[in-house]
Order: sequence, then structure tokens, then C-alpha cells
Amino acid sequence: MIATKKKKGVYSPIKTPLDVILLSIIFQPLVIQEWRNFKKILFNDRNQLFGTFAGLFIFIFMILFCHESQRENAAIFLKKCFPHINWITLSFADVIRFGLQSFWLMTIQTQTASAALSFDLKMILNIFNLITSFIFLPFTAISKGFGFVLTKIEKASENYQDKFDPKYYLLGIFFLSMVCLTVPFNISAQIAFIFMLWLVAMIARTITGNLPKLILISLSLTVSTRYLWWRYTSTLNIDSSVDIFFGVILICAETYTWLILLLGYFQTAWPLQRKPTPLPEDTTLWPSIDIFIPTYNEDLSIIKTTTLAALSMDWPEYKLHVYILDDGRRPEFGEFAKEVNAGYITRDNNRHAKAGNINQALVKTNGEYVAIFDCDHIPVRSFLQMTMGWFLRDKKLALIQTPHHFYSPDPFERNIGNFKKTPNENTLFYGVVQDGNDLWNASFFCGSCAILHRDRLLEVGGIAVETVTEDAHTALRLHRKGYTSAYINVVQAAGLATETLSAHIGQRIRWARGMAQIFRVDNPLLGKGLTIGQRLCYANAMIHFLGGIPRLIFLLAPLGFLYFHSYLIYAPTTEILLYALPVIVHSSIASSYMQGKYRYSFWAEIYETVLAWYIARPTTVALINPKIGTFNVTAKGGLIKDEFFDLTISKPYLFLIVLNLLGIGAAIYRYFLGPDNEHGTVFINFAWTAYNLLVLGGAISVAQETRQVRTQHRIEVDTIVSIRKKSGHLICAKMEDYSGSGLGLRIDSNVLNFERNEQVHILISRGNREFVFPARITNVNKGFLGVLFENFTKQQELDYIQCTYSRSDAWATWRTDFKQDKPLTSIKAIIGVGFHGYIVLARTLPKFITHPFLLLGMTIAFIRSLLPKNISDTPTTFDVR
Amino acid sequence: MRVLCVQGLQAGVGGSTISANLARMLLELNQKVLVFDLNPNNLLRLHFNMDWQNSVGWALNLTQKKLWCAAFECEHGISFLPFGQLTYQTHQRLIVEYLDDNKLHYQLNSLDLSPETWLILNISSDINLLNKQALALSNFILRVFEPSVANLSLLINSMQSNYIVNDAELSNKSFFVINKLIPHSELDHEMTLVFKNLLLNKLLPINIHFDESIKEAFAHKTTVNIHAPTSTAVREFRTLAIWLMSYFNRLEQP
Repeated sequence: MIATKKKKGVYSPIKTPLDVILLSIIFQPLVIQEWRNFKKILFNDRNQLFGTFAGLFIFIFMILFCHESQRENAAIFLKKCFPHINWITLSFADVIRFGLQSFWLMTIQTQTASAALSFDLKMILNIFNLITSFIFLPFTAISKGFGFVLTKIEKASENYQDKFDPKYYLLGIFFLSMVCLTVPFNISAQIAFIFMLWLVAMIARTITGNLPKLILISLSLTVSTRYLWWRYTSTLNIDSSVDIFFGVILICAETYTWLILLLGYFQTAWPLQRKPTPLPEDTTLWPSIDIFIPTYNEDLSIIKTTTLAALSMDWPEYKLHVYILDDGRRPEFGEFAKEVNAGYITRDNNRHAKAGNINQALVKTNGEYVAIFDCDHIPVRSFLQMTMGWFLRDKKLALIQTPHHFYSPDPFERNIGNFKKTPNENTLFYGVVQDGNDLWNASFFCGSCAILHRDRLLEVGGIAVETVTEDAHTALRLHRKGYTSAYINVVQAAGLATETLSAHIGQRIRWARGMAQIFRVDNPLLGKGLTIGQRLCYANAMIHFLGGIPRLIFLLAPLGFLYFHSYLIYAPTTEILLYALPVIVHSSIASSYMQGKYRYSFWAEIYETVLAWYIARPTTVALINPKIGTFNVTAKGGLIKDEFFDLTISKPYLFLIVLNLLGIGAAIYRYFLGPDNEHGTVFINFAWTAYNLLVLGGAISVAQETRQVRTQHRIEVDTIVSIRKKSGHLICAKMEDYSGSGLGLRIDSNVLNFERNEQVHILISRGNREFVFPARITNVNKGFLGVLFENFTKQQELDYIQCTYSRSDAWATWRTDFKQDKPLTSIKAIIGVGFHGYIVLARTLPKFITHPFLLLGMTIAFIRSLLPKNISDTPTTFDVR
Repeated sequence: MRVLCVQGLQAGVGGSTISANLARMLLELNQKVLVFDLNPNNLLRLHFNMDWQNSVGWALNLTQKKLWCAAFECEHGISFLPFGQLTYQTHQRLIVEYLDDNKLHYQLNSLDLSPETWLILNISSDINLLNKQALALSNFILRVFEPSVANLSLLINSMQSNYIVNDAELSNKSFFVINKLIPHSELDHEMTLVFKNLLLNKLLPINIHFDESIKEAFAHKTTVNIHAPTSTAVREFRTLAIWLMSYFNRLEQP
């Protein structure tokens, strides 16, 4: 009877737990109370035999060795320092985790650990630091010395006035480098050589400045040119026809890569980093500007924001005209334009798509300058003031381009889940490449967020219509006429990224095809009017898109040996490693140094692999016959209702994966059943295949489309606003994000009196003015409020956009949030992404195939869970102050 | 001693409220504060939880020939000197018999405050003997007004000729702050812009909004940072206090 009652929980007698009894034998009640508190925080009062006694062990240890003040926060400290241990359900594996993590904290993360413990570890730390600094002493000394010398040289070269004839220098450098590149070394000499170069590179990368950058570039070029020389002269097996067939294909791909590397270094070696130029005080001297917003099939809501933002740019009102160029000829767009006092231009055909649309509008308007915004690119109010100064300063200027910035994640970012954590694909181009182009007066037009000089544009016949990348082609023509261009690397507009991977690939196919078309139709290396720098920059931009086929060759190259037993690189294993590894190491050191914040190491592998298959065919076709192919509009602002795996788009990759997996099988076969002297070659090809599989896995994981349910993207901010309740109370709040329709607000969690569907007003200030917006609360959750705007008047719509999207500082902090690249961390991330691809794949396959893989994956995950973790700082809570 | 004088442009614009809240906020920012009520309305004490019936104050003490400086300290540690509840006759007697041109100066000296202490003088909106002394003795005059048409008219009139405007020294150290700005009133925002154009840098960059919490705090006989710590008003008073602190820091630097 009693037993059943117990089960039902009608009553249960208060039972003293065993651990408390044990403790109370030795310790006083005060300590018992402390133990109870400790247990409550750590185990949430749940009794569990093993966990409790493990906890008890730690507790007794603490009682004996720690001061009372430290014991107070001990439980929280344990939770913080051992984030991967779930104290409530302890298991025996946690003992290993505990041990490893303790060791980790004691040796590596000493600083954080002592901070968390509020325990003075200075003595131990100092000894540890002393040892490490002693080991690195020679290294640091050299680095410091070099840095000092280099800065001196840089300063001296700035003041260097004498004219010198560069011919002799170039001749000297040429002979020296020829010796460097072509002299064959035996193995020990080569080892010494690459070791010296590596040492210099490791020292140079610790120093900031332009000279160390040039040193790294020359080192990288030295080893890669040397590699190519070696490949051409001593690794082609002429005796075997199969070998020479595959060998020549591979060497062509390698030559292409070398060329791209060379041109890339040339292009980005010295970014100009142009600063905005102030405008004259007298606003009557400011030129008149027409703003074009071309649209074809986008939603009115997207156009609305952009148009209103364009209308509220800081510029004399009578000198600023906004036009919506509607190729869709939709009457509601015309009405909207009329309402907000913007121009509305249509035409009776859609010839040449966007280029034709703009050309048509050029005829119908007459401002001195034309600014072009894609319909989703919302300019900030300072856009014109930041850019126009250069037009007044440089009388030959025809074009100013600013970066394209996306406030929504692109398919890579969304599907991999690294939005705002890793710089996206775009960042490299707008962060480094365009700035590098600018030095050679070769920064080109990117179709949006740019200003063009109308007369000069008309002089080259308006926007070029011969190719599908009208923007780059137009810029090329302007440059041929002798006009200059400028790039200002300050984000002054933001837009939507493409939604799906297929759309993204579609857009890139268009770019690739267009660039290949220009290369055929109007080759920058030929023709009049360009400087050598411009020729090379344009050529790189175009040749870069021809990378599809070489990339595919690399993805298949190791199979040549594994399948057909063909020696693509006819050389001993050690020699291959000694020549090839330095190329990889030096190019990644140099690119990491140059691109640091804008592209993390090795991410390019994934970006390029995804595109390789798709751009291979169109570029080849365009090179043969540039007239084939049509213009496709990039779709933006769509929804993805359900998570899905894009099988169609990933088919080529699945095919490549199968081939490479078979290659792995062949490698195992050859290792165990082939001749002994081939083990080295098998190993190299195996490693190469494994790497290819990893990158292909990355491509697969991008094809897993995650859900995208919001129609309006939320943009994170950090601004203080006020909420006015109906009762007249004003509550202070922090605006955490905004979208076109609502806000996310953080309030003090003590404020409880908010209800769903409550009508409120939101007060947002901008500059020294304040605006009030009517809203309704849609979501109340522990200090977080979601509000939706209601019943905006036209004026309020304009005010709201001025308070949010078009604030001058709206995108100012975006890029600075990225940390400097760490190649090793980046490799880890890439491996994670690659593995994730296979997990995605496993989910779509039948169970009996995936089961062993899942088991393997679980084992790996378990082993990973044992490894020590970094302690991150706990997120700070909102404070009104 | 940092002497701050708070005066409303007209009665009822919230001079006493701002004095009290500002004092509390300065205290919260670890400043030493003494609030001296020179306004015969004797309202300031009510912000500091003094009994309704308690009529004690420095002016009353003076007329009763007691020790005049009877300071009070309320539960949150603020020191204040109430005016005292005077009848019409005693008030007249105070003016005639007890106040002279140097009375306040003498009084402040006898308080013997340390140099880092803030002394907040809350004075009425008219110009009388006591107010003249307070204005002359202060380092900073904070003039409070509402963004209303009436206040605009008052301000424009006073700019042509006024006790403060006519004295260069006084007008140099006087600044304006907008109180009771109604957030959803379009007119108020328009008026704010008008005032901004009129007063330029004499208008402090902080506006105090009309907030129910301020009224409620007064009804609870306390200040708003204690009654409603999460309200916008608290942030506004804090910004105001910090602005004043930095102003004085700059002033005191050699």
C-alpha cells in the first residue's frame, strides 16, 4: 500500500541523501549547507550516483585547498571551465574530459582559467611565458630587426628623388631570378633551399607593411616558378604515350594556375585605399545627379525601400532626381513613383535587358551624373557626399564604384551557417581586388552602387550591350578612351544576396560567360588606349573565370595514376613533395597575409569547386562563339519554405565523389597488392584524392538548402530607443535588429508589463531629431520584444528608412568585425564543412549503406567530445546604462 | 563647490522636478550633492519623501530665530534644505527683515562645503532678491522650459530684454533644457526644432520627455530612478547629469 502511494508521489518521506550523511560525519552543518548549494547549481538537485560522488570528491578537495571566497562561485566556475561536461548526467567518459580539460587549462588556456577562477596564477604563468619566450627569442629578435630595417628602407624610399633607369635593374633581377629558378638542386640542397625560404617567410609575415608583403610575394613566385620549371624540364615522361597525354593536360592546368597566381599578385600587391574627397562648401557648385533604379520583375516592397532611401540622400533637392526604370511596365510602380515624387521611365521593348533599360533612360534624362542602383541596393544618405568629391577633383574621371554589400546571407553563408563569422565570397573582390585595380586605374564598373559621368558614358555609346556583363565592358571602353575610374572602399549601400545556390550559380555563369565574351570580342590585351597595368588587371578578371576546366582537371588528376597507372608527374615521391609543398605553403602564407580579413585561407577552394563544373562549359562556348547565350536576371528576395537537398545542382559533384571514392579503393588496392617501390606515389595520390573528397564534401554541404522563411531580412544593430506605452510610460530599450516591417527590442528583464498585441509607439532618434512610429507588440519573451509597425503614413515610411537602412553609419562596422585570418583555424573549418557534406549525403542514402558511416561518424564525434574546449566569455546581458 | 542653479522659464514647467531628479542621479554617479530649495513653493522636499505636515525649513527657521541650516537626509542618502512652509505674512517679514544683498553668500559660506560637492539651487521663475543672489553665485544656470508656444513667446520677449540677458556674465553661464516633450505630438517636435534654431548651442542636447513615470514618481514622493529605473526618463536624467559633470570638468581644468 505504502509502496504504491510512493510511486504515485502522494507523499514521500524526506530522505537524507547518502552523500549528505557521509559529509555530516566529518563536517559541520555549515559545510553541509554549502555542499547542498553546490549540488543545486551543478546538478540541478538531481541525484545521480556517479555524478554526485564525483562532485563530492571535487567538493572535499575544494574545502581542503580553496579559500572560502573562491568556493562561493566554484560551481559556476566548474560549469564555465568545463563547458563540454554535462554535470547532470555524468558518465565515465567525463572523467577523461575532465582530465584533458584540466591539463589544457593548466598549460594552454592559463590566462582565461585564472580569470575565471579569480585566482592568481601569475607565478606559474610567468614561468611558462619565460620558457616560451626563451624558445622563440632568436625568432623574435630577427623579426624585430627585420621590421626595423624594413621600415627604414620604406621611409628612405619615400624620400628617394634621384631618377634611375629601371631597365638595368630589371635586367639584373631577371638574371638573378633565372639562376634562382632554373638551377637544379639535389635533394639535400633543395631541402636547405626551401627551409631558408620558409624561415624568411615566417619572419616576414610577422611584420606589417608593404615591403614584407612584396617579400612574401616574391618568395611565393620563386617557389612556384621553380616548381613549374622543374615540371617542364624533368617530370614529363616522353616514353609512355599515356603518361605524356595525362601529363600534358595536368601541366597545362598547372600553368594556368601559375598565371592566375602571378596576375593575382600583380593585381592585389598594393591596394590604393582611396579616401573620399570633400566637396566645396558652396552647394551651388555641386553637380546635378540622376539616380536610376532599374527593375524588371522585383516586388514593389523592394523598390519602395530603395527609392525612398535614394530620395533621402543628402544632396540639394533640385539637383537630385530619382527614376524608376521599370522594364516590367507595371502600373502600380508608376503610381508609387508619382506618390513619392520620383520619375518613372518605361519602354516598349526589353531589348538588351538592364543595359538597354539604362541606355533608354539616358536619352530621357539630363543630369550631369548618373548613379545606378540595383533595385535591392539601398543607398545610405551619405552616398553622394562620400563619392562625388572625386569627380570635382579628377577632371578625367568617368566612373566611381563603391562596394556591393549584402545584408542577407548568400547561399554559402546560409547553408554552411557562417554568416558574419567568415568573410563571404564577395568580400575579397570588394575588399582587396578592386582596391588593387584602383592603383592601376583599372577598377571597373560592377553594375550597381556606382556613379558615371553622363557625357563620357554617352561618348562610348552608353552601357555596352554586346556582352552579358555590360558593366565590365562599359568600364573597359571608358578606360580605352583615356578616362579614369575610382573605387572607394566604404560601404555606402547594401542589398540582398542571391537566395539559392542554383540562383547563385546562375549569376556566376552569367559573369563567367560575359567575361569570356569580352575576352573574345574586345580583348583587353589587344587594342588601343590601355596601360599595361590596366591590360593585366582586366585580363586577370577575365582569365580568372576560365578556371573551371583546370579545377576539374585537379579534381580528377590523381585518378590518372590510381586508375590507369599513369605517372602524370614522372619523378620520385620525395622530390615531388619537396617541390610541390613549398608552392602550397608559400602561396597560402602570402595570400593569408594579403587577404587576411577579406578571405580566409582555403575557402576559395570550396567557392571555386562549386562553380567549376558549371562555368566550364559556358566559358568554353563563349570563347569559341561569343554570340551564343542569353541574359538571365538574378532572382532575389525569395523564400525557401522547407529544407531540401538540391540534387540536380549537385549531380556533377556526386559523380566526382563516386569517381574519387573509387580512386580511394584503387589506392588501397595498389598499396597492398602493387609493387613496394610505388608506395610513395600511391600515398601522394591517396592524399590528393582525400583532399579532393573533402572539398567536394564542402560543395555538397552548400547544396543542402536550409530554410529561409522571412520575407524581410533582419539587420542587426545596437541603438537605444524608447517605447511609449498607451499609458504614457516611456520605457528604455535597445534596438537589436530591424527589418522593413518591424524591430527586435531588448528591454530590462524586470519590465514585465508588456502584452502581446499591445499598441505602442517607438521613438527613434537620428542626428538631433526624433521620430515616432506606431507599432504593435507581436512577441514577448524574457526581456525581448518583437514589434511590428502598423499604419505608417508616407512620411513615416520615409522617416523610418532614414532612421534605419539609410543611416550613414548603417554598415560601417560590418567588415571590421572580422578577425585576421588564421590558416590553421580555417583548415579546421573547411574540414568541418567537408564532413558535413557527407553527413548530408548520408541522410539521403538507404540505411544499410549509411549505417557503418554513421557509426564511424559517431565514433569521431565521441572522440572529438573528449578533446579540450576553449572557454568563451559568457554573453553579456543587457544593461540600460 | 559646483553651484548649479535650476530655474523654470515660468512656474510649472518642472524646475523642482528636474532639480530633485538631477540630484538623485548625480548621487547615483557617486557625487556629493546638497539640494538647496530657494523656491517659496517648498515643493522640492516632496520629491525626497518629507512629511506633508512637516513645515520645517531654512526660511522658517530664520524667521523663528532658530539655527537656520536644518538639513534633512532622505533614506537614499540625499541631503537637502527645504524652504519651509511660510504664511504670507511670515514671507513678507522674511523679505523685509532677514534677507539682505549678501544673505545667500553668507549662508553658503557658513555651510562650508568641500570643493567637489554639487550644490543645486532650486529657484522660482520670477526675479527677486534671493533669486538674483542665487543666479550671481552659481557657476551654471539651467533654465527649464516646455516646447510650447507660450514658452517660445516668453523666450523671445526675454531675449530682447531680461535680467539675465542684459548681464553678459549671467547669460554666458545660462543654458536651456527642454522638459515635458510629448513624444507623439508633432507640434512639440516642430517646436523643438524652432528652439534649436533659436538657441543654438545654448540648448542642451538632451530633451526630457513627458513621461508618466515622472508624474508617478512624484506621487510616490520619490524620484524616477528609484520609482521606475527602466524608464526612458532615467536615461535622460543620467545623460543630463553626465553632460553637466563633463561640463564642470572642462570648466575646472586650468
